[in-house]
Amino acid sequence: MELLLVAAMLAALVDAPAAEAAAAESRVVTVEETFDGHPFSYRIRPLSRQPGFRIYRITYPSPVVTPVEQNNTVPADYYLPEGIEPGAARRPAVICLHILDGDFALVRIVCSALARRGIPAIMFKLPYYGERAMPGGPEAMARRPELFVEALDQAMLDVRRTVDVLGSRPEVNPQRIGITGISLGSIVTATAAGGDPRIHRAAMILAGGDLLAIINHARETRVLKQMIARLPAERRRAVEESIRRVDPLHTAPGLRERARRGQVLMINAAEDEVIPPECTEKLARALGVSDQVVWLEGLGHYTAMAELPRALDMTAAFFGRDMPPGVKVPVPPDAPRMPPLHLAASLAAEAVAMLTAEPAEGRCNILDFEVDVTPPGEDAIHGRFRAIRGAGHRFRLECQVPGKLDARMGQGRFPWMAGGGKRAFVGSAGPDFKPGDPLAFVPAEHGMKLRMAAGAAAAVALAPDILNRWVAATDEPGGGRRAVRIASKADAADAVVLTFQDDGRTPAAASFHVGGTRGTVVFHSWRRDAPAHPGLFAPPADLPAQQVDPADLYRMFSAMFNLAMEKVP
Amino acid sequence: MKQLISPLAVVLLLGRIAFAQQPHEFTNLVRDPAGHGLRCDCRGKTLLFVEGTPEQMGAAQGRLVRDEARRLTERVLYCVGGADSLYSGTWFFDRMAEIARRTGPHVPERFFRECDALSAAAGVSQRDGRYANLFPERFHCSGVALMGKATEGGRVLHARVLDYMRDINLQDAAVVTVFMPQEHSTWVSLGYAGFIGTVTAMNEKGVAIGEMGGRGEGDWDGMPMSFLLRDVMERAASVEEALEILRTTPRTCEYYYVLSDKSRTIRALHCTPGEMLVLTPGQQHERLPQVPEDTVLASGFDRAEVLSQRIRESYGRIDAAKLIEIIKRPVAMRSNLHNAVFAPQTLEMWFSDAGRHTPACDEPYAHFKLDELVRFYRTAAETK
Repeated sequence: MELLLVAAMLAALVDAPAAEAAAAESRVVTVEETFDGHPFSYRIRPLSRQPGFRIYRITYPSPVVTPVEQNNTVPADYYLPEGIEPGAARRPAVICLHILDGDFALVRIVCSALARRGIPAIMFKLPYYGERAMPGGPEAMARRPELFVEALDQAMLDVRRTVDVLGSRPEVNPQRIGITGISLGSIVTATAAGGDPRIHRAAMILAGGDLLAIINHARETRVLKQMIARLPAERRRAVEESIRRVDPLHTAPGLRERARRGQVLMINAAEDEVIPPECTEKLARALGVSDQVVWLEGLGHYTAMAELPRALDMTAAFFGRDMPPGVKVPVPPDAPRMPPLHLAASLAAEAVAMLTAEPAEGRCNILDFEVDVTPPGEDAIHGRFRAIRGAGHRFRLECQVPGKLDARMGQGRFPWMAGGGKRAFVGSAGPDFKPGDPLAFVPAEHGMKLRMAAGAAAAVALAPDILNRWVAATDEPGGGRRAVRIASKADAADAVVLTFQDDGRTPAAASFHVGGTRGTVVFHSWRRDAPAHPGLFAPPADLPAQQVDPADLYRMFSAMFNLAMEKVP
Repeated sequence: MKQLISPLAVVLLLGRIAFAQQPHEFTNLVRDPAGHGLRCDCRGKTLLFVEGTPEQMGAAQGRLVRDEARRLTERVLYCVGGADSLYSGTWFFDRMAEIARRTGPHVPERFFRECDALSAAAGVSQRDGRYANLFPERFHCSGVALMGKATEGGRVLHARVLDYMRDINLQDAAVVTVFMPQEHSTWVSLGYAGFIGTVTAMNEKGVAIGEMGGRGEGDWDGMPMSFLLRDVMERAASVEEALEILRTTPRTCEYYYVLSDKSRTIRALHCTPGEMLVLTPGQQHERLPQVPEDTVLASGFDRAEVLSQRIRESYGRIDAAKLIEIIKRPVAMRSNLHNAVFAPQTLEMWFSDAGRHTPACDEPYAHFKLDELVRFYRTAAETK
């Protein structure tokens, strides 16, 4: 018995947070040191375990008591990296704030990205969001401008209380608490950081100052704008004054010194249609970092998704500067040990990256698979597809559906296409011809869709659990090789089963049943960064070649791509 | 009799009021800066008005529907053209060059002038603008006209079903264009941005026409079909005059047409370059199912069979609303791009365009009157 007790104590010493996770019951922790001098307690209970970190649900009272009872408790999820040993040097921790529309997927991705880098991260739902909402959801705030302002005031105090929570954690260095947010979250970040000197670093993604100007400009806040405009003059002035009080420009002087020391990061979209760039510039000027804003060129507020992985990298590196020396971040498990959803998400991200990311010179990415599809009430269709992406605009696409379609196209030294086994049309325009962009005539919005898909896939791979809302992923037993089943939660009959090769990460086959359509896929090749031979990108040698204008071929490639992009919802 | 007529007149008048376009229904007005056209939205449709010389009309269209015209040119020439090259093993632009060379001598010069002006204004090359307008020549739908005993009140009703490549989203560029050419009749085309020809149209003289494609690909020594129908719209004041134009103009390929006019003449035609078969109301033909009295129709046999059956089921009670039901699937095909019902006697038309995922026959119809559209344009032009 004593031995068991010692073993239990040792285990607790080795991994105290793990012990928290192991406890089925929640615990209550009292925080004595608080921003307002009023001690409070929070309740913590384990929620889930992910590769590299665990998630705990923490709830604590808001410092503000409102008539809406559910709004008075702050629900937060704490992302705690694994492997933090008792007595180890304390780490920085980051408060992560969500966006306006009440979807928490993005902020969960931010928390996951930080936790995977060994940085504890916490997200909490802003006043009147999630389980704190009134009937009608957070949109109800837009119809009550005074409530909107009160919610912003409360959000600032909730941030301060969350600083208290983090400061009480044994693994967190209370001198190195940071804050970050995207869009609305970044505006609250800026204001809260300016108002609370305990916040060491602030990273704002898509932030701006002059809140009234933003409200009057953005489509997303038009209801709020209209409601403010309809208020009687005196109430309108009061609301506007309150908004100015929570404006990042108002609290910027309090953050300026930290900004001067490099403790502020601003990442913004150069063509932001929601937060006008001039508002970003106002905030940057107020903070004295006008020359340090990271502008995502060519991107808007929503298309910034294309660069989300890079923005997350920058943000994690920014807060990572406060990591104590010598901290080793556990390497996430390799594919064979990944949870099923993580494995499927990383596979999807890899597939998108194989098609969208240019490999190094002399290398290529190859996808080659056969598919059998049977739409409801129709005959089965068999097809083979092969896509090779090389460096310098080289590519090859092949699609063969016996009896229906035989299309091949590509670009090596020249662009070309061939079909039906009859003739190859080669866009050769002399020896000095340099292969150009085969999608030169694709409008920016279609290219952006692809970049956003790649960005979203990479971001989801960081936090695949956000997909849990829609799908359930399980390991499929039997069969020798690892197989993963991804089933829709809306319709359990809709499912995909992925079977992997012996390495546990390369897909071997898939079977699917989606919306009545069923089928199978057999992967012949799934290779990233494979050696590239010029012959891979050349037109079929066995077909007579006809020279055509390469510009016409580029327009054809672009037109087909444009149609395909239009078909994407 | 007088007592009977009065209530009917009231009903007709009320109907007329209900159908008349109200000025407030025309939204998003954009005027051609050169004063030769106007673009607006009404009842879910994009309306385009162009007037003047060929150059003025072409340039106005190019300016007013520039983006749609560019997108459509890309779609038909480079998307469909690319697929055609892959499928046939013949370079699409070689084939189009041959069509242009062989049809060129038969195309009224005014059409080329208008087409080139359109291309220049839309930022499309002259070659691509001309080829896109010849495109219908390469890819080859149901039509029916009824009158007398077949219809409610005996009025002439003419339906046209265009089954044609909905999958490539041509419907995104659908435009109802009112052409008001100098020295020719005003006419309306249910068409697409960037096209100056037509396959579905009615003119101010009360002549309506719809086309159905056949075979005969390669017979290109004549006036391209879509230009030929435009010529009919601009010059014919009756079905008889239309038949004369169709008979005397060198024709291409194989097409079927249904024509109607306000003087209660309806005809179905089968045209090849060498022959023109004219079917009169109720006339039977070996390649058609039973054709009811006071009816002409043309369609693929299986669909024509359903069409004939439905006409017979509603015979004598067919009005525009009923005709819209009659031409639903399977008379219309899955590829159903647009449908029109014309009433040439009153210059009314009802039409629908395909949605992104639905055939035109399942989409709501918009109702317009050609004379009211023209009045609207004249008023709008005067109140700049």
